[in-house]
Amino acid sequence: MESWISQLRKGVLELAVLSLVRDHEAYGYQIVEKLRSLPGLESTESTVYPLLARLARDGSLDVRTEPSPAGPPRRYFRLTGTGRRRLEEMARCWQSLHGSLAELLKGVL
Amino acid sequence: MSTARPLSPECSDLINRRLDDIDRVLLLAELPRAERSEIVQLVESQIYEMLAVIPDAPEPVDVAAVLQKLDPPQAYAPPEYRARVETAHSSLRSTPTPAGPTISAFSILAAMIGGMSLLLVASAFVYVMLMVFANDGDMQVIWVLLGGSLAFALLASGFGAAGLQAIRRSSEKLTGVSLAAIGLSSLALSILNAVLLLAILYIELLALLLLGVLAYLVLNAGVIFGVWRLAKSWGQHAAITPPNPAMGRPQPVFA
Repeated sequence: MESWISQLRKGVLELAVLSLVRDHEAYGYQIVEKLRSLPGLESTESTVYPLLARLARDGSLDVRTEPSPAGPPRRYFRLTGTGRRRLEEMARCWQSLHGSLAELLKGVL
Repeated sequence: MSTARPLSPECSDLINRRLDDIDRVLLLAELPRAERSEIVQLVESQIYEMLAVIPDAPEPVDVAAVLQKLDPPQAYAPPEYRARVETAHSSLRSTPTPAGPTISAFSILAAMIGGMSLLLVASAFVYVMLMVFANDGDMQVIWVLLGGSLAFALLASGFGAAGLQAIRRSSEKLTGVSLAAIGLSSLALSILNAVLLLAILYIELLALLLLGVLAYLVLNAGVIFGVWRLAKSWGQHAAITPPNPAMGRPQPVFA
């Protein structure tokens, strides 16, 4: 069961990250902390940072650095045009999946 | 501009080691360089963010506590690479930690034999003092003591030179420059002390004897210090000249 939950969470993590930076840019640690506060989406840096790096590489996210009072510059991520299209597509897919599963799960809980 | 508090070298070292470990795991997982660099920079930034909430300048124990809260480096490996990373990690753990530099055996021998040489010459001094005060004594004893001192000093100088040579060629694996210096200086000291002692003995003046003891102490300390300085600078010169330029420290990829 644990493995299934972990796989499901990983599967939707990309959608969650793209949604997080949809309207406002955010830096890595901020994204990790935000996800940590969302029940069911709790993720740690070893999952989130590789995903951010991959999304930046494939052009879904843009990276901007800004000096930080804490130490090394913060790396802010924001959605690009490609990322926005990807997010919309994923959101549509999720809505469809969610609707179908909601129908199937009627009466289970 | 960053207003971050500067970290002590120990703290920076702890952080850099963790970042290097993560980078190695990502390298084993065959991630492209740009992605590895991105991930490592994000982790580094998070570590500093977590340290920033500590009111005082972070100590190594604070850094260790922050690192403890983070995922271990192996967690960065994608599932399909976990086995490979675990194998590499366990082989790294089973590799014995390289020991620090060891003291050259030649240097140890040089110091021991040089010490004996100095002890014999000091004994000769004591015997001469007793001779002068008691107005009695056997001159043969002095010759034996001085001869022994000279013989030991010759051996010690040879071992001292061999020790320094071995240290220089060892690429920082061997140490013991100070010990080698004691051995090296013992020959000069033995000869100088013998000359001084014989001069005192033949002049036979108490005031000169006391002056001679003082000169003995100053001379010995001066020669040992001088040879030690010379040997040290010689050893340092050897240390800053790596035997192979390709063996330099690896540069961090996140710089």
